[in-house]
Amino acid sequence: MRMRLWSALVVASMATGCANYHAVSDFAGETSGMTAVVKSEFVELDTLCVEQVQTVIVVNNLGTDRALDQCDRYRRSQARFAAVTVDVLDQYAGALTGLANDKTFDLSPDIKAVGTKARAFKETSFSPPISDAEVTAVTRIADLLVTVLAAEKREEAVKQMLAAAPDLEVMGRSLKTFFVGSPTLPNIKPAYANFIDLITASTTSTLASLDSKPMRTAEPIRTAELARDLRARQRLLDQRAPSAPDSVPIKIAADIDAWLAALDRFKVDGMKVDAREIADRLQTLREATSAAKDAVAGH
Amino acid sequence: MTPDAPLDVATGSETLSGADLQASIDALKATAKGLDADIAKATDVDAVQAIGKAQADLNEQALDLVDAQIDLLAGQASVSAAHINAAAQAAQAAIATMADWRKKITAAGKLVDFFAAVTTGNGAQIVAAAYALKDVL
Repeated sequence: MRMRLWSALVVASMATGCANYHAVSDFAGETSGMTAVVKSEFVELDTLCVEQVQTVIVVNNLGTDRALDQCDRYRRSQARFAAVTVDVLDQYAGALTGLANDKTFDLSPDIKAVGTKARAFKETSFSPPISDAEVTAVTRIADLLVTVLAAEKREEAVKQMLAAAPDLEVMGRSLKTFFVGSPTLPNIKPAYANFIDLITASTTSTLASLDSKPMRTAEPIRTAELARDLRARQRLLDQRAPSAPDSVPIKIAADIDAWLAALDRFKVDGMKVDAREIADRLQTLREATSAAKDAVAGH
Repeated sequence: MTPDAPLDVATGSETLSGADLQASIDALKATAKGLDADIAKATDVDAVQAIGKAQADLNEQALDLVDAQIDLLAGQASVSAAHINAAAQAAQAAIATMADWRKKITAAGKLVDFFAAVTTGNGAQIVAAAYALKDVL
């Protein structure tokens, strides 16, 4: 009878706003899965740029690596803002995982500087424009993570993480805009599409140089090697052509859409009573009660 | 962009963005692409590499424009994105009709110089670079 009363009290307390740690854990996994895909594509973009420019330097005998600076400049601008966005989302996922498992979590040492960085990108990048809402969302989530790291009450921290859902949605849409543009900016070509187009144009022109008679005659083996590498790079670029229906950016956009749908579910389920959660808590409670009884009884 | 009528004077609040200059990005890319045909006809390695370098410069300039935000200097000519896009498209069309690849890469170099001036936001330099470009078209 006493245990029934305990159970009723626990269930009643959970129904009035306890965190659903299974939902928290699920959404953490969905977030880190999405950010892993995006981060991996950023690495690919860097590699495509650097390798293509290195080939251009060799084929055209430029005599300096200065041309490589363009990849750095690109990385620092629009792509870098998207990279900051995805880094913050990644750390949000790590914090959720920590809360779900009741473990401490780490934040990147530069998380506190995210707001300054985000505002600096707004000052220098414009295609498509970075909105105030995007800068604010990234900054607020970074600030929230610092707050949550210091929070003493786990459930209160989850509530705060849930309350940040509108900012997460802004960040997800911002990332999607980088890859496929936005219906609200129909005349602005996505930064990703411009980048892929220009690298593709560069590979096509470099291949024309390597296929030219003077180059093949002067350096037959080297030109054949470089042309083979370029054709492999062209295949990677073809997979990223914005017009292809099953291209990499379209798939990434679909992944971000799936994550946004998961965010909608998380908003509903994050503080909803979960039978598994209740069972876990009751088990913990029974064990604690039993241990207390044993202690009182001197066992 | 060699204006027929005097341009307004920039107040310091005018900005050119990469999104406004998409037509210029496309014109630079098309100019580079158009040189592929000259590579196919080149008879020596030096010519192939000179044309390849011009293409690399055009593509690099186009990539730099994608994320550009250019603040026009106050007190100088107020140059609009429409002016710049028109200049880039006119240059692309003129270069495409040139028969000699040497003339093409000279003009391509002036086109890159023009955009280097554009990125300074200095109206006087932009107009001067536009006249220098026009001279070789």
